Formats: sequence, structure tokens, C-alpha cells
Amino acid sequence: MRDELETLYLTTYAAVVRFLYRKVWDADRAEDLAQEVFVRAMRHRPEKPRAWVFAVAANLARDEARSAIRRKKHLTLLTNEPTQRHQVEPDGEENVEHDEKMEKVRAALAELSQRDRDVLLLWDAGLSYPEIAEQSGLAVGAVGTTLARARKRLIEAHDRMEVERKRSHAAQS
Amino acid sequence: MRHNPEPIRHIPEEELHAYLDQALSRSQCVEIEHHLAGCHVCRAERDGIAALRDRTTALLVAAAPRRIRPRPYAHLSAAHVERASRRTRLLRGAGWAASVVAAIGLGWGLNQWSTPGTATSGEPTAAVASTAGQPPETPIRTNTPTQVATLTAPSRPVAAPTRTEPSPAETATHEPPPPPRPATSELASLAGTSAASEPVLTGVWRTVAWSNTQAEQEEWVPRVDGVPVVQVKQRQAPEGGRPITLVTQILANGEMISTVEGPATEVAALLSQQPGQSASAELQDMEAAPRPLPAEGSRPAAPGSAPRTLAIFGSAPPDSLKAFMLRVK
Repeated sequence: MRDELETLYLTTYAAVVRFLYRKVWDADRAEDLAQEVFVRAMRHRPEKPRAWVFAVAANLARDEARSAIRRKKHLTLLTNEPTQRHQVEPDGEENVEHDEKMEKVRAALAELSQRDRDVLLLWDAGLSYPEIAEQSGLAVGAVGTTLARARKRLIEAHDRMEVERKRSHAAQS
Repeated sequence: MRHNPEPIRHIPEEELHAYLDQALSRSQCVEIEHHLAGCHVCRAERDGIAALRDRTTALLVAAAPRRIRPRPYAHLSAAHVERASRRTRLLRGAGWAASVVAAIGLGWGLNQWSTPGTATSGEPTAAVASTAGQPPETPIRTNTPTQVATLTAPSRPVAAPTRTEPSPAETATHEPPPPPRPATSELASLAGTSAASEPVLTGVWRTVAWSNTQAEQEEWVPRVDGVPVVQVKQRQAPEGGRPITLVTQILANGEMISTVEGPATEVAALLSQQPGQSASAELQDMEAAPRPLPAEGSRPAAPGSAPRTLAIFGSAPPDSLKAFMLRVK
């Protein structure tokens, strides 16, 4: 019989990795941290495992950000490696396009306030409004308002960047 | 003439987000759907929000690793089991580490203690006190220093703060301590003697197991509390009774200190054999010192309880030996 945590792992692991990736912006690191989250869950056996794993993931990401300066050099080395590897792959062009898209989203997310960003990422990870409220400290009624603002700002920021990029491309040509 | 329709309450934006996010109750949903059916403004708003929502999702999909390869759950379980056992080992290790830290802390404390700023460490010195026919129940007080020798040359052993307490009866009512007297004798013959820490013993001494010693002496062995005991030796007292006991202990800095307790004459003889005429010189002076001290309420020693002396000697400054004296158990 499948363990409850195993089911959660199979259904939520990818979401946890994505959630972490949007905070640490390093695929390997995001996977490592996600593994760490589930190993900890095995130890703690939380009552509400889905909300718990995202809460722990958010904490780990926060710790990660704190130590980012210390590991800056090391991180640079880490992030350089996959880039070099991907360049020799046959679908390199697609990857370049993906990277460009991602950079824009990353920059757009960076323009959001911390709270708006957290709520948006938790919603995208599949948490319910009450779960998001519990984790972010907001009232359940305020989650919709926050999400509405976050979505609007993300799209606005992204579209503004698109316009700027097109303008700079036109200026170059 | 048509009546103006009642101003319609449009659905707030955040409610439409919640509606599309399926975060509303069934009855709320029914209410909203009913309104949407009759309000084109809110329908347009809903469509706009749905598009915004879809775009957000599409953007966030781009902000994800290209591939996510979950390791098999079994790997995770293995990591969990491994970590649990490591934690157990760590806990065991922590207990061990705590004891080491405690030992180091103790050693550090003693080291600090044994090297006061003004004293020169490494100088063999001796602290001497007399005890009566029974072990002291409380730390011996330092209120009767009869001799304090100062070192006249580096590396020369000196005798250290000494004091005499001939009988327990007298220890209770001593006057405030007289100021330490300056050295009465030049300690001349010890140049080159590195330490008096290793006691020189004559006569028949037997090495006694630590637990046996405690048992034989009713749990009391003269020693500095909290310092590891290296060796316990005993020799029969000539008059019988409690033997002369010598306890060697090792300080954190590796130096040895020895505590000797026994009949005054025996201890004096033992100290006189130590490398350092100092000890004997001091003891002779001590013998000459008024004993018992003229203290109020002093009573003659109980019959059969010959004066006994407790002495500490070793490579430590006089102040340290004095401090050790306070910690003699």
C-alpha cells in the first residue's frame, strides 16, 4: 500500500521544484532543496503535508537567499556548467529562446512585492486560498485581492519589458 | 417613460479571481453565475481576468527548469534512514563532545587559575598546611599563612604559602590572617632543578587503587577537587594509625601537583627530600612558627591525635597552590 507521503511526493514533487526554482533560480539547487523538503517530511510526518512541504520549501529558499552572497562565487560556477552543456545539445536554439523567456519572467517577478510574489507562487504551486492565507499570514478574503494585484503587475511588468526589448532591437537594426 | 434601472452592483475584481480560482463556496458561485448571466459588464470583466490568469500561468510555466527528474521515492527513504542513524550517532557523539568540552573547560579554568598574571608559572613551590588527626571537613582556610617565600631567581623552586592548623578545634576561631611575611631564607641550592612535581619518595610506599584508597580512608583522600588523579601512594605511619598519603594529580598544562597528608614530622621529612631545599627550609621555619596559633578558644588537641600536615607541592606559582589548597578535599 502506498504511503501518504509517497503519494504526495509523486504528485507534488515537480510543483515543489518549480516553486523553489522561482526563488533560487538554479535547477540543480531547486531539486536538491526539494529532496531535502521531502526527507524532512518523512521525519516530521506533518498533519497537513501539502501545506507543510511548501512552508518548509519557502524557509529553505529564504535561507538559501541569505547565504547567496557567501556562495556567490560557487553559484556562478554551478550555473555556468549547465549553460555550457546545453550549448552543445541539438535543441540549443529552443533553449536559448526558453532562457530569454525565463529571464523576462524572472525580471517581472522581481518587480512584485515579496508578499505578492509569494502568494502568486503558492497559488501556482496548487495551494488553496486557505492554505495560502495560513502560510502568508493574510486573511482568506485578502488572498483574492493579493492575487488580482500580483497577476496584473506581473503581466504589466512583463509587457513593459517586451515593449522595451522590441524598441531596443529596432534601435539596433 | 422608462424607469432608470437600479444601479447594479458589479462583481468585485477579486471575487472574480476567486471565482475563477474555484475558491468560493457553491452558493457564492451560483450567485455570481446568476449575476453574470444578466450583466455583460461583469462578463467582459470575467473574460479579461480569465485571460490575465491564463497568461500568468503561461509566463510562470516558462519560469521552470527544463526538466524535472524526481528520484525514486526509495532513494528518499534511504536518505531518511541514513540521516536518522547519523542523527543517533551525532547524539552519541554530542554526549562525548560535551564531556570533552567540559574537560577542556575545566582544564582552561585551572590553567587560568594556575597562571595568575603576576606569578611566574613553572616554578616548583609548595603550599603546606597542618591538619589534625582527622581529615578536614571543610576547605582549609588561608587565614594563617606563616611563610611566603619569594623566588630569588627564575627556575628556582620555592616554598609557597604555608599555614598551620594544628587541630580542628583551633581552626574555628583564628584571628584575621597576619600579613604574609617576606621570605626568610634564600633558596640557594636548587639552580637547575626544573620541577618538584615528581615527588622523591623514600621508604616503603605502596601504590593504591583509587577506589581502594577511598574505601580504606572512609572516602577521603587528600586531593585537589576536580583535577584528575594520576597516582595514589601510601606509606605506613611510624606510630600506626592513618598512613601518610600522597596523591599526584595532573593539571591541564601537563604539570603535576602532589598533595601529601600525614603526621607532621613525616610530611616534613618527605618535603625535605623533594628537589628543593626550599621545602625543608620552609618547613623548619614553619616548625618554628607559633603553633598552635594563639587563638581564643584554642584547646589542646584530643589525646592520640598527633598533629598532621597537609602539603601541596608542584610546579605552580604560590598563588595557584594556595588556590588549590582551598580546593583540597
